Amino acid sequence: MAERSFVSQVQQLRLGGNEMFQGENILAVTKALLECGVSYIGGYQGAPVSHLMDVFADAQPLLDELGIRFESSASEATAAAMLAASINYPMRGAVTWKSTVGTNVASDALSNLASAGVKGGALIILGEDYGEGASIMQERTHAFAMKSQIWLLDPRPDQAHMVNMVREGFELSEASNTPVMLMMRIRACHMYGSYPTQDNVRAPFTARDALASPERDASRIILPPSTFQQEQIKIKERWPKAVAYVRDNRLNEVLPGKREDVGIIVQGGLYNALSRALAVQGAGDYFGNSDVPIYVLNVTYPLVPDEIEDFARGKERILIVEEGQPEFIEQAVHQILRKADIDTRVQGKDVLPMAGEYTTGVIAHGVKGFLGAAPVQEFVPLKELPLEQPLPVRPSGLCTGCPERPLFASMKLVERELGPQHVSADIGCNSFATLAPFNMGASIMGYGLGGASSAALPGDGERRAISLMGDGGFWHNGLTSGISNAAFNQTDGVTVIVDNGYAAATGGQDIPSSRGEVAHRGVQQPIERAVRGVGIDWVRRVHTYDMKRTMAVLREALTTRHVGPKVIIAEGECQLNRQRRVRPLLARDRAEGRRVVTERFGVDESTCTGDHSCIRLSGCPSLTIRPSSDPLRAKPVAHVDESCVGCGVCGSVAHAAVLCPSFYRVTTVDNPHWWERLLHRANRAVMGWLLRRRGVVA
Amino acid sequence: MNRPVTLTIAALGGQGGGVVQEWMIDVAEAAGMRVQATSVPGVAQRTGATIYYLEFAARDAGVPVMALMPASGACDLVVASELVEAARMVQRGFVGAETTLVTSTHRAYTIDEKSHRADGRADSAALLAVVEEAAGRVVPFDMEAVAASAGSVISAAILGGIAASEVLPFDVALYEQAIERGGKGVDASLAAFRAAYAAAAAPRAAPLPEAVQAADDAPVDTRLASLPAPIAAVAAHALPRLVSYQDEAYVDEYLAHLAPFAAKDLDLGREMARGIALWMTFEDTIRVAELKTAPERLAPHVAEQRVVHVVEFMKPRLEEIAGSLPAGVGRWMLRSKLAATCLKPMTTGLKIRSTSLWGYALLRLMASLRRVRRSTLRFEEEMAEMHAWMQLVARLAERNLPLALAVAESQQLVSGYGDTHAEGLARYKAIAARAEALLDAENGAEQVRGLLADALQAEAA
Repeated sequence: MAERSFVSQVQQLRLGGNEMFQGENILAVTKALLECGVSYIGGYQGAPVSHLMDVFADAQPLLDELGIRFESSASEATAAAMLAASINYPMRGAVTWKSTVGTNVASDALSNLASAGVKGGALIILGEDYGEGASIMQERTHAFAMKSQIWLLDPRPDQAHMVNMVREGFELSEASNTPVMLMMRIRACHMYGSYPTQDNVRAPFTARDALASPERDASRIILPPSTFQQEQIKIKERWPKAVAYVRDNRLNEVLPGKREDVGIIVQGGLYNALSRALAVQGAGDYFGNSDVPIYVLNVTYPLVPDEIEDFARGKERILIVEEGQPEFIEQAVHQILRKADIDTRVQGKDVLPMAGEYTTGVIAHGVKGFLGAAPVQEFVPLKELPLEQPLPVRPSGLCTGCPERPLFASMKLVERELGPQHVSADIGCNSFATLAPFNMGASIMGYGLGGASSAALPGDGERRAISLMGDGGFWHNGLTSGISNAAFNQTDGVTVIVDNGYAAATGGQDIPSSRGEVAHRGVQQPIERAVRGVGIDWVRRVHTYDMKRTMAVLREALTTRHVGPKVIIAEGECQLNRQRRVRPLLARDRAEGRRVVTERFGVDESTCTGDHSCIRLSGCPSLTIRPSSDPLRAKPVAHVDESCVGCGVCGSVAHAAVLCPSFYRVTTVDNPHWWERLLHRANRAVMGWLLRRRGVVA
Repeated sequence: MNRPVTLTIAALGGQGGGVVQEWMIDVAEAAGMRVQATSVPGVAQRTGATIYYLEFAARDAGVPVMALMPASGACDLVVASELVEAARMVQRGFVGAETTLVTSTHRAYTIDEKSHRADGRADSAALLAVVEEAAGRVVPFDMEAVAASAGSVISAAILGGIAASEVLPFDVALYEQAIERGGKGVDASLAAFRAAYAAAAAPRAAPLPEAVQAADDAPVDTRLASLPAPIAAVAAHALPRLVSYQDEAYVDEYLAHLAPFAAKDLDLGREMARGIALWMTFEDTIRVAELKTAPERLAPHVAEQRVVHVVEFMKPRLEEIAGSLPAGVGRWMLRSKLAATCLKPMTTGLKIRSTSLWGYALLRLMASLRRVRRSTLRFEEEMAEMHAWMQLVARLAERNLPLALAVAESQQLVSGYGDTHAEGLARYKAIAARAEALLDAENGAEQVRGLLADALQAEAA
């Protein structure tokens, strides 16, 4: 993939029977797919499951050996639709994405898939982006399982167990003809562990087999009357089969404890946090032994009523540890016990918070409330510190050298000229424009939906809304939902597409407009051609580092008499990936005696007055402050630290905004031309003499 | 111990916390211990704060159920690669009496601290006090400085701090072997690791980040003898600056301006000694050219054997060019369309190579205008503003000394170049206008300081 290599991880995928895998859970799950004999894999990258996609993208030879079709899907909807192959053929398939955002995008295909039912096992690996580190709105995947009747696995985050649940997931899917979602929380994805591997299995049924003898079953088409029958089948056949499979194969676990009066039901993914919380509260130890019996739901949907009845029967009280809202499981347990006439008291969201991540601290607090008699206080996540000022927050921001920084600086400067603007933001690195120091962007509606979210705000000839869109979002759906929509409806407005060459926010994956040569992928598709192709006439391309032109084009787009959609494609390669690509090449050139120019920026302390206007227009991590050595000045001065990559944006900003003369660039030439060396020597002699005359030896 | 030993690493995106985690897994496995680890990278990778968490247990002790995050009361070793992040660990309840906290004393300033118009930095001494109050033991050292001195990155310094804390049952050799097996930048990483190990083992030496490097007291000038000592101490710094800015006579002017305030009040005298000196040495093009061509600045670059050049980014507006000329000419120029057209090329942004003969000569020519500075338009304008400020402060001081001091302090808004300078001056003038009306208000000084604080916020109106 792109500029990163996952060769060592690919090696891990080749482990055979009875070897030991060591690494992160997400990679273990990736490997497990191969052990399950999948025929095809797809997905859309996003934390915390990008790794699965990245590793497979680098594993083409291995995938070829195993006869597996792997696609980097255009969107989650594409990935979900890919599972259609399992409707008619005994093909195992797996797809992955970030949830709930990706599940939202995929839900149309998922609903239809669930209605039709599957023949081959269909597994959806979900990176559950909830709680600390999450970058999306906080919702539950559970609701999708309920509305579509897709089974939901939430395995206990022990690596061997998770791998086993992948295997069980396929079996369950096939036993109940239903797609299965396997949910992995962020921390569980990145958890390091080990498990004994099995041999990879070549898919017994491949695309070739399917195409050689195509099958079609009218009852699986989503049209009436089949749809009505399918709903009946879901409830009357598939659900009971699933419940039976979960029960018979003991996918959920009952862990014993000496207390007979109480018990705890926990989502599998939260088991470790619960176990530690019990240990901290003195109701268990650090090795999984607990005073309180625990029923671990590795399958959170469907529930197995018999198991819940058995667990609750005879206990005075049980606690449901269920993260997020609403409390679907708690409600269901109430109903199950009521129907069975079991009067065990059910606690959950009364001692635990309704919303927010269930950290060890939160659960420990809730367990204390559940086990103790004391009234439950609200959990206070942060201690108060004895500081006069609140502790500074550290939001995410654009990386050092990010090409989007000069774009947003240009937008900000143009806004100063033309007055306040409505900006619709999008998902991706560009969403950081909504944070300090740019503070631009009024809404984020979804990936690629920046353009669409300005649809109700057409220009009136005087003012125009600006929509932002990343190149990742553009190819994901923005081309149709934003650009083509604006062309069709003749919406007057300005859309800025940030073309940095990669899906940068998710780790630098290739996209159709990636510039490099990429094996197995059709890249180098210009965004401009696509934009013109859907009927936009006013298109400008700018290079973001050329702030003067960028500002001029923005100004033109916002003030031109041309009514209708205007698209600016703002180009500049993602610096993280550029550094990955360029650094080794430069090191090689330098070592082999080729001319290499290195540029770094600096701030002159003597001319910096400490007003920090440069920082307010840039926010570059390498542009920071340090104490002034001038005893008359109390304000810290600006300073460029060692992390500078020499992109030059601070100098451009200083120029464009007429800030100050403090920025300078130091250019170093390794292995210069002979005439450069000669000129340099002459210049040194003269300059040395001039400086010596002023009393300094150079 | 009947529980695993825990290690929490609070790092910033891009500092290599993931590498430290890999090293620690290697160390533990080499030592034959069970190790479990997890992290929450995600968007935090983009310069935000992020946590890595590891647990270690003896193989014969059974398999611990790993907590996926630190839990209050079971945090043995917490490492923070930056001081605010150390305080954040305390805030999140991950530092207790059982905790050894290894923290870097350096600061990576947050965007809010950096964008402040004056000084928005958190108080490092207070942060360190918070940390010391909460932790059982604190091992503070400057990880960034240690890493930089070894030509490496902060991850190796973090590892050195972990080893030196001796909380984990691993031999130092194992850490070094882990770095070697890692195979990337081994020598630099080892150097940083060892330097950090030494720094962490030694008592705290590094000064806190915002402590100003106290300049040596300037030699006492006889002309300052009549001033009270605290005011003379400030003025002593002003004198060489005024001489290098203009000439000896300029110093006499300065002292004449200062005298009435020095006689009035100690605090006011000190503030005015600073403010008048800064205003009298306002940054005009002449001053900038002088500073850019300071021999001390250019000599190291010129002395380089390699081909190195320094390029200055300058963008004088028409106002700056006109301001450098005799007042009459300058004023004409600002009115004249012809002049604006002719000078347009100069105002589109200049990149001047100050280490080359031609760039240097151009800047020296500019600097030589110092002789006629007193007649320039900008000088005339600045001095008029400065006098208005001094008169206002003097007037206020007669009736309301605290208010006068607050207005004296508000002068700090007037700084920077071009539009920033104009905006700052406008903000100052708004406060000055308000101050006149507050002459008899008891809380006038408080009100002005409030306005000043607002005006210094990054996004103030």
